[in-house]
Amino acid sequence: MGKVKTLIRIQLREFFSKYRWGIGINGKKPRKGYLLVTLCFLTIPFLQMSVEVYRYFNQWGRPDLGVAYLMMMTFLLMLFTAIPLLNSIFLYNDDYQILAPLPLPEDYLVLAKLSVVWVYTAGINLLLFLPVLFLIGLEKGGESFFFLCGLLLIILTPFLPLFLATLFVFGFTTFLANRGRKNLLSLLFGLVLLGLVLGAQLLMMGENPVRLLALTESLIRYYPPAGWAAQMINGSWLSIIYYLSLNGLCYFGLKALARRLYRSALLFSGIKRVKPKSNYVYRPRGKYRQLLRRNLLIIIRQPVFLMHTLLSSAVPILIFLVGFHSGDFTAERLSLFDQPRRFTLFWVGLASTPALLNNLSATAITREGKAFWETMVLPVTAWDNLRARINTTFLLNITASLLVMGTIMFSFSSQFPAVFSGFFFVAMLTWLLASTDLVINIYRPFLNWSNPAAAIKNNLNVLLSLAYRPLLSLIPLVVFRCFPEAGINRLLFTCGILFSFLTLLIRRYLYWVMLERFKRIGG
Amino acid sequence: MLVLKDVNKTYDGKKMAVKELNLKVNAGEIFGFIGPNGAGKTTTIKMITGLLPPTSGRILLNGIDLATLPVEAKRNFTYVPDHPEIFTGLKGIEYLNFLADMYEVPGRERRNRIEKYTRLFAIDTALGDLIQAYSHGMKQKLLICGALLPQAPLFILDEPLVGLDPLATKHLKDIMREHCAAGGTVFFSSHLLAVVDEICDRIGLINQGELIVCDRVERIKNGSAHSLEDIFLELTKDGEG
Ligand SMILES: Nc1ncnc2c1ncn2[C@@H]1O[C@H](COP(=O)(O)OP(=O)(O)OP(=O)(O)O)[C@@H](O)[C@H]1O
Ligand SMILES: [Mg+2]
Repeated sequence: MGKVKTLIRIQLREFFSKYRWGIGINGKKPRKGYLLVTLCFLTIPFLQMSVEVYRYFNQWGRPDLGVAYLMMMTFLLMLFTAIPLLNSIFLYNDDYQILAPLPLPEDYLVLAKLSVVWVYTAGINLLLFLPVLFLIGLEKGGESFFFLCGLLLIILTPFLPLFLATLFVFGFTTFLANRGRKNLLSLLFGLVLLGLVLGAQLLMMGENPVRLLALTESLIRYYPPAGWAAQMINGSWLSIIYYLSLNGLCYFGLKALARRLYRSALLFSGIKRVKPKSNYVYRPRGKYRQLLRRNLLIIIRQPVFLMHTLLSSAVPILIFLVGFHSGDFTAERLSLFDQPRRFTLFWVGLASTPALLNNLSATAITREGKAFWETMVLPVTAWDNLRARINTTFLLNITASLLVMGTIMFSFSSQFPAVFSGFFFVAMLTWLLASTDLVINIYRPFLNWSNPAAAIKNNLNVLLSLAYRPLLSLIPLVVFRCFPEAGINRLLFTCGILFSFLTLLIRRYLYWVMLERFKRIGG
Repeated sequence: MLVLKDVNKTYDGKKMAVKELNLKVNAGEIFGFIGPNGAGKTTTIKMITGLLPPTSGRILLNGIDLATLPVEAKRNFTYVPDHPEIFTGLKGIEYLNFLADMYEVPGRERRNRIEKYTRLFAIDTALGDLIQAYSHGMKQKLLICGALLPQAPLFILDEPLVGLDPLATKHLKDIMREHCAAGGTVFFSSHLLAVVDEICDRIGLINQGELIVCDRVERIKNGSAHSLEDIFLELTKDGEG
């Protein structure tokens, strides 16, 4: 048992130190206070949500249904967190080189890794359940039975999603990896889940409370543990027994699978085979085109990067589709007929989100990691090297924006106002952000990562680039203020021209000042 | 072919990793760069390839200053690093095509050379695989093939023999010799003194950032019966003392 403990401790430390380094400035470890403040900020939305749920369901006298609702929410949330986490901890971690030769049983390693995911998900779970349970407990006057229920819920809830996520990650990724398509399905699944989570949130915000109450009750049929949780709150021993046995099953299931998981994880960490081909293409291509292609492939061939990029690009489309199909976005509501201005702002806003959310340039250099030296010894100018990175971001984001436009156009087939000026606005904004984000990455290149997730998430570059985005809204605000009478087309064009002007300035800055800094990266 | 003038490098502003290095490698010769661990070999090579800017001093490749005309200077060499850390999301063939485009190798020659070198180093059957699936030695071989592909005049290698099997080692030595016979130049660092002794025309010995000896192998031995190893140990001991 001592060995397992040490193992778990090491895994936990490794995992969370990655987070700490990611948040740190210039690769230095952040101070404790700074870390604490960040953590507090992160917990607030969870706590707030929990209190909201309690208030909402209590108002109808059914706080137990609130717990059931939270159970379902956390189920989705945990699946959603556990899948990418399992992916990076099991399939994309190079610590097997150190762990595999150790004289330890294989299932120890697997359980130690799983426990990291459990700690993480149970942490979120704690934040979500503590306020609700506390508030209900206050009402019940602190019975010891209730205390037991609370404890069980907090500790055990992650087991089922964890079990399913594990089955999913190993079942499907190993199946697909055999066909050389690792992660495709995990990607699809991620998208579906994101849709579900967004849908659940929209429901919460929806104005029909009775609908939500009824919905929760009917959904319990599909996810019995939520029902058991509600019954437990009401004092049912039988539900506790059900609940305990289900989690027991999950636990033993995981244990029984451990050895197989280990085998497939070892096999698939890093290795990917593609069918050999004998007739290759030797056609010469332009240098610049090859640089672009390389930058694109760095994203496409690295599943973690690909997943992240696709998910961030898909958000606006999902928001739109959820809204459209739930009846929130209708032609009348968006004033498509009497007031095209409002609708124009709506679609331009959605089409701008890929550029706003997907700050690919902020990690354009970081993503290359230890292979960064490759393009630096080649006979290409440093400027071409930089330009290729900006344009990769531009290409990807503008494609996403076009897809958003296409989806909206397809949904409201009849009218689509201000197509050209709106697209000009979006394209110039994308171009501007693709250039400015790169400045951040040149300042903070951070090439020594070993886990791809650390390169693009949990990373101060990404946060910094998101932080200055609200400032940009000043431009449209000022333009709209200055010319209140002007038509929407003219306003959008003016903003676009201002954006392109700013971009040219930033590019001058990149060329004259940042280029020298770029050449020194890695030295 | 390659000239270093008063090159200095310090990483932290205090300790000199390379001190006042003056070096001239002539066209048509194989130059071996030796020295103990941490002597400054990799640092020097990174400065020559433009990966690290020197703190001071000039580097000329074929008479072209690396600092002022980097692209023109870089056309004159290809480089194999000490660790084969390359982007592993490409297939072998994609990597080679990428390099060929960067050095503007025309289609027909590209095909001939890729086939010739990959067959020689026995990685031709793996070209359709992602580099991720390559072993350490295979990656090394792929890098060597990539570096041979453009047939640049200067061939720079940092400890190229580490991890290569005996047959590949032999081929690489042969290629180095052929390259020089055809007027090319090779600059490589190594700890394998027997190989250095065997194939190099001239040797530079660096210790604690300073070039101690730089001369033809016979002149360093100076007719004595000592092996290169003995001389190496003797010279680097003095450097420390
Ligand atoms: N990135 C770096 N940051 C700080 N110091 C460094 C860095 N790289 C090398 N050094 C220092 O520079 C000196 C020379 O290192 P270098 O890597 O050039 O040695 P080397 O001759 O290639 O050694 P080896 O035979 O082990 O490869 C060493 O003292 C080393 O500590
Ligand atoms: Mg070295």
